[in-house]
Amino acid sequence: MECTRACPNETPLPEAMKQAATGDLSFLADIYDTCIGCGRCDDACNKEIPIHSSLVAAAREKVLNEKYFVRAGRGAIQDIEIREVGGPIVLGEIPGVVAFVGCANFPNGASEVAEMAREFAKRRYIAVATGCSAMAIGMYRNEDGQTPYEEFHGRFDAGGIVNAGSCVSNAHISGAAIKIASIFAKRNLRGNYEEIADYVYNRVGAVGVAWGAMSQKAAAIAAGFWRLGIPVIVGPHGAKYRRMLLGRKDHDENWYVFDSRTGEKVQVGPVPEHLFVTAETKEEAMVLIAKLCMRPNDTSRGRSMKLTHYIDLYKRLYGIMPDDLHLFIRSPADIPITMKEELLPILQERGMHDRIIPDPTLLKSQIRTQKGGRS
Amino acid sequence: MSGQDSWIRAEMGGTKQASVITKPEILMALLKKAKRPLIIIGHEIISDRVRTDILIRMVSEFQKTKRIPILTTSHIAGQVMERGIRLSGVLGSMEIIDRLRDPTWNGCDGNGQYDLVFIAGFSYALGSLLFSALKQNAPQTKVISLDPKYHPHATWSYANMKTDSWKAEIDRLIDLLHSENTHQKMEEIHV
Repeated sequence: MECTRACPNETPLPEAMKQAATGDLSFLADIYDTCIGCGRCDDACNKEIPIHSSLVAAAREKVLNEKYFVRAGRGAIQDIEIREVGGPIVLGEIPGVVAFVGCANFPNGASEVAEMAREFAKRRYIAVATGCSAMAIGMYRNEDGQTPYEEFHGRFDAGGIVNAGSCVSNAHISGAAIKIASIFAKRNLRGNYEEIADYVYNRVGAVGVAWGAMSQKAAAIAAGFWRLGIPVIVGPHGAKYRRMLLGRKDHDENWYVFDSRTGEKVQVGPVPEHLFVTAETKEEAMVLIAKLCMRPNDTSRGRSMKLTHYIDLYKRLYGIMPDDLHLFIRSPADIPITMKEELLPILQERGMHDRIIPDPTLLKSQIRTQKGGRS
Repeated sequence: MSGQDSWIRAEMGGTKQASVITKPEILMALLKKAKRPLIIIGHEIISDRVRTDILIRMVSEFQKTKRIPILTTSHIAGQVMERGIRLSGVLGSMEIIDRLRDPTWNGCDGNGQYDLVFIAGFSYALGSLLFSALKQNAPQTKVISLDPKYHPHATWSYANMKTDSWKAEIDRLIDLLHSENTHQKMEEIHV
């Protein structure tokens, strides 16, 4: 029992060991998929059984056949690719960029990362992966025996799964967001972090997912993203960082931006609601990804597309309709066409009122009409 | 009963540790004193069949007899509702705890902050952090762990126990809820 009490994933080791003692190693071999290999069970065992080694031995066949295709890490996203996708991302026509990053401290094994990446690539998001998460995505096969890297293309474009490289290549992902601001919107790069972060936060629908975040390095990487205005979702073990950056959708007064055309303050709703948040399960993470990709700058077409994914995932995974839809719909044009009949009565009941779509900024210096502001 | 130490060894409880629920009357007394109780259930409430059955039955009885609002986290909302439980809201675990530590939050129904919170159905490590956050940031709120693993950061918690013993404890609690409810109804009729 001490082994389970030492295991960060609470794996049922005592039951598996009992079964193994009868000659049936299947249960022990199954645990190999969720074991993170920390070896705490070995230290805790008062009978001095080498539990982790037994577990690996039980899964010998599985380990020997662990051969998969992983697309080679490709490094920086090229300027020419940004020129192609910058517009659709900023206008919301590509619903978002999802970056699967961070360590392998997964709560339920590596397959969850692959499942998430496949889901969003199928939905024509751009999935980018680095380091352990890029490997985890490769260690999965669909019903046709293909890994996600064989199933989806590797371009930085809608419906692709891009392996940017090792976890140090995370900088290429934040670099892509910065390049959108620089190449697509001509923002000056030198000494201009504030303006770039303001641009990314308000316009670039990107989300980071560090499903197995564990190290201080992963926390530093997450911080590198959220300070640029990109929300980061961590797995349940990520709560151990004891720091979240949470928004409150129930506080309307928190969700104002300036319209840089007029200087007027405009209520835009909770987009994105959080900058650093723990998800309990992969299902919650998937719904959060779709939700956190929304930005104040979304066009009606883009918002309607993002809402389609959010509502569809919520209904499929939670089994009910989300209760915060009215916060994201700014005008009837935002309502997904295929869901109009279903949504209109709900929105009317919750009191939807039309809001303008601003040219959003959080910086007074970006207001064009203001003295001393951008001309 | 056995084990009044943190289930996962590394989750130390500090100097102030949860009192152990040794009999269901303790929970009834806490409920009697509470003005605004709340139940939060995590995704593990829908996990293995035995644990799910016990927790769903208990939560359902709390709702029927005491009309305590229930919030759920994560993706289990639909499955919980299918089992006949009416939910007052669905929020992420971090979002719920963030609201509970805010004294100005008016609750799901707009009637004010909660003063007694029952929590069940989270993985131990995550649950431990939720209890810890409330212990440090909402010291006025009494937080009860209903799972069969001792949570030192809660105000009251069951000790580490086997499923059978835990089931017996919950059965006693449900009996008590029933008998008190019947007694209350009799009194109402009498009045």
